[in-house]
Amino acid sequence: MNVFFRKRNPKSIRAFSLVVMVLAGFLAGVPAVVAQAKPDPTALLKELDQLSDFSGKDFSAVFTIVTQKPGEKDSVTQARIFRRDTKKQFLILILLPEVNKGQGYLREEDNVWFYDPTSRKFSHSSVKENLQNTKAKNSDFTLSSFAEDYEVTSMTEGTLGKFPVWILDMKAKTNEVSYERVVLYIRKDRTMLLKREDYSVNGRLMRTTAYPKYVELDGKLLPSQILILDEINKGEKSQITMAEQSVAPLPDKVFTKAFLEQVSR
Amino acid sequence: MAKRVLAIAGIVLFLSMAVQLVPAQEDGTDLNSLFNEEVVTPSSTPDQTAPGSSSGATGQGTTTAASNPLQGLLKTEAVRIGGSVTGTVGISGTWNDPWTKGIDITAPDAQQLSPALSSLVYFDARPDEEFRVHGSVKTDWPFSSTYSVLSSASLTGSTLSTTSTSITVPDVRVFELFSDFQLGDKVYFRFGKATVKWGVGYFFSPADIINLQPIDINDPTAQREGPLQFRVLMPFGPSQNTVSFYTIFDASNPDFSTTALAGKAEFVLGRYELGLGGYYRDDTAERAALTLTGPLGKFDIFAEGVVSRGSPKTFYSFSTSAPYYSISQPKDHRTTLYPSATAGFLYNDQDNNITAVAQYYYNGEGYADSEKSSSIAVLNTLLSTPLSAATKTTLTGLSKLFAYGSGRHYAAASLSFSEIGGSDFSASLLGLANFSDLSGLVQPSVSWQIADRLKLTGSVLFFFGASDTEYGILRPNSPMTLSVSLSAGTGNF
Repeated sequence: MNVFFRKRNPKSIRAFSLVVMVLAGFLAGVPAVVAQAKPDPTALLKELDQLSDFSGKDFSAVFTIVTQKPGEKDSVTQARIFRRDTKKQFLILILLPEVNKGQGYLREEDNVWFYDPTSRKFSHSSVKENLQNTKAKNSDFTLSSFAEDYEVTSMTEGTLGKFPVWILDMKAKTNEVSYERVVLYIRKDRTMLLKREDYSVNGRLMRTTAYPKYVELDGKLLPSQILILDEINKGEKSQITMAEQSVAPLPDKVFTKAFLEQVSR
Repeated sequence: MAKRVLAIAGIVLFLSMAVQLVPAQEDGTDLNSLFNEEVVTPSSTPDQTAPGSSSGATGQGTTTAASNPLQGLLKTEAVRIGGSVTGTVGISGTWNDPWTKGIDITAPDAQQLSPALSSLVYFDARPDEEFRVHGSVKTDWPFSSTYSVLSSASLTGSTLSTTSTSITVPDVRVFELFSDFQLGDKVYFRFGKATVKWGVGYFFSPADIINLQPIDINDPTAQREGPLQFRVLMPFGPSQNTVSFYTIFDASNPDFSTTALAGKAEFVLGRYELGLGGYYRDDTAERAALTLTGPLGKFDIFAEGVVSRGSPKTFYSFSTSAPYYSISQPKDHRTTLYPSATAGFLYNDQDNNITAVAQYYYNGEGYADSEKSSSIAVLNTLLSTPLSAATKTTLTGLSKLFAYGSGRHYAAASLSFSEIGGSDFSASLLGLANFSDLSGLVQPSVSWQIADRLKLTGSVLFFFGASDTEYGILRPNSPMTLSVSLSAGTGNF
């Protein structure tokens, strides 16, 4: 019996159509599911690093950091930051508070110098050090290099707010980084870092950082708001906002000690 | 059964959710709630114009920025004025011989009330991107000094008659005054009176040849006064390499023989920075200096080596025959070689607010042990013989000048904890030792930050060393000074 030409009642046809539609929908959805399949974690990290990579261009912006500590009034730190990613250079010039105005950090490759206009002295610093009295580290203002500095130990799925995320647990490959272990929460539908947790060598959660606002600049994505929670000193946090971002070219002299001395007070 | 399983599952789910929520609730920040709406602000055209053109600055999160990010840094419409003010009220009591006579806390041998107010005021003008003028003045309470000066003198027969008058001079000193200008981005000039940072040492810096003031061990990072100079600085090679040339003028006697010429090259070699300097002043010395700084593990290390042919230092020697002492002039040791060196480290643990610094110093301009011992023996003999009071006073004064910096091996260290345990208390320990004669000082201190710009510090200063040592001569009998100091209204503006 030819089942294909057997006459069916309308109810059966509707049921069959429904099954076909569901199957078609399922099959049509396969590519989407494939796209949501676990990406290569290293490739994901590279993509994340490239999001704010201004290699070939210069980047500058003004960052305002409001730091809150229980029992103390809020402190405001403002810094103008110049970055040249091609040469791993940055210059951070402190604009506020008035007491520290003119202090600065200069980075070239792996060297970081701190300049104090009061003593007129340059001293060695590190990207691991905190920027002034804030919860932010100098490394928070550099081009990220997760793919180079960390190896992924696990990759799971989760949700942050309304966003499905990849959760990457990572271990440092070098001691040049600020934290031994970092957990990243990376948005799935559009690669961007939403949250990170930084752990010490002994596994203690040191700080949690959220990136709730991004802006696009020259095809790149930059966090325009960052919230850093100190997990050791509960209640202490810094909120960073970015303004006046620019990719206008900068003269070479900007990334020199002579310039830092010149523009400090 | 199914209901019971569902109930248990519900309780477990609730508890696990509650546990996860605790950290967020503890500091009142629910991070999940930050991600309930789109996080990316729509893009706009970025500014890629070169510095030079102008446009308005924008607010937070905007993507059209000021065209010239350097605008406002190199050129300003207004002259900036700022400075610092330091106010302290200190009380101290000194027990001159606490180790043999004991301490009566209510009856120190000397006590002192020392109010102090000082200020530095600076201006900074940038009328042009390639021209900057900076100056600063310092003053201290009571802001004036009174001097007695000879107003007239007459000789009648063998009688000399003089009259004096008092003049009051405002105590305002120009600390710095210089201008910076440049030839493109290749050559930077500075003319004026300014601090020069040559050395890299923290407590001791034999390579810091040019500045007029030595390092104050109680305030090692303080800016020090520099001379009038003309500096030419040129970057070369990789961006942090520089070479600079100096012409340094003598304030008291400007002359060709008192004008120094100096040059220094600084290189970045991997993680280390190397400095090579040379200095020549006809009437005092030629000097060659080598400096090195860089990280070593978690430590920042620094080292200096200096060879000096001749020295501006004054050396003292004593004899049992009149006039009992001699004071050297620079020409007396113009060709003598004096090698000096120092090395140390700085450790800074930001997470725990701990800073430690330690440094060793070989002082080539110190006295040899045998020379120092014989001079002290002669001094002790002279002071125990029946000489005139004036001569003994002179010899006592010279003995202190002789003793200061007389050793060849020194070390200094400090350890400080700030905001201990998140509190408003800080503590520090400072030590300085002359290892040539085993004398020195130790000063523990505790500070309480009562409020912004109000800090109370208590410290005890101990001196140690036998009577024939540097600190035994400078501070006989190993005295102890207990101090309490209130810093009030100190800050920058």
